[in-house]
Amino acid sequence: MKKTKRLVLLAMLTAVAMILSYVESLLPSVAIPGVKMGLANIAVIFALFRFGWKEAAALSLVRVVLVSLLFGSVGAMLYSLAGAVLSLAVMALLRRIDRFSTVGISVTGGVAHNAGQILMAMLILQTKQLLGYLPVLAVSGIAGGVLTGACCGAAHPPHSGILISIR
Amino acid sequence: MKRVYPMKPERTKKDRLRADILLIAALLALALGFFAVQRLSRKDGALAVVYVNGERTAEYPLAEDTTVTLHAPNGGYNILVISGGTADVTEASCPGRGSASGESRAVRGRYDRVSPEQNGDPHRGCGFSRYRSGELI
Repeated sequence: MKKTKRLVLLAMLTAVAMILSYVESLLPSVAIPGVKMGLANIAVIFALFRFGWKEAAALSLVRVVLVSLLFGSVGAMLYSLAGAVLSLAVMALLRRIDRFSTVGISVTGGVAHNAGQILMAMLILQTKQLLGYLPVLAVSGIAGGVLTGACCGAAHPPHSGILISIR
Repeated sequence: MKRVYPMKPERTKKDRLRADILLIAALLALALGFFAVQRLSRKDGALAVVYVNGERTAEYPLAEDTTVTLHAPNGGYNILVISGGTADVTEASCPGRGSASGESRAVRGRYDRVSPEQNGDPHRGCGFSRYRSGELI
């Protein structure tokens, strides 16, 4: 792929990720903080399949920083960053193993994102109490992961697992 | 197009779907196991513990709203009211200062912290103190 084309595609994917984050921030939040669909992960996983983990990492970091500055707070950036880094590491690993579809990768990424956020919160607030949140957030992460993974599979058909028939 | 890690063609969609389902099941099981371990290792919420003459005679979960009259061997009584997660001794028969040692005393939370009533305070059992989770409030 030409360098320019690559650059443009990545820039567009970043824009998509940011818009998805914005859309998600408009949705009413559920009772438990941290429960999110993780729509922006669609773009990250897409980049992970289309390009590789470096590009996906760049996209993810740029998204987190920009979205935190634009729509969120700098304080929340730390949590997002921890979640994004852990999630990306796990997803890149699973992508390399190449055994799962986008759904499997997205689900694990969602759970890892929540785990990263909780770990960061535990570090900042110096409390172990938050660990109790983990199972709840893990289940929500799985649910969100199935959704985003399926979306990504639809956007990138060769890699879809669950969405075979919809293709 | 350059692919960093090409998808292995020998893995069919069916394989991937099966792997996905296994992965999700494993993650769910992990979350559930974590939850179960947490539930089991945790004591079941804060308790109001009743001691009569230093003996643990009863306990009531602070999560449930109840009113109990606690009778002491010497005929004295305390009324224990649990509501909104706190325990209150709203009424007590105090036969006079220094003579309440037979009363049911010291409504305590689960952490068994020493409150003034357990240190030989003559007013024990006559207190109208409120407790929540082991703390005197």
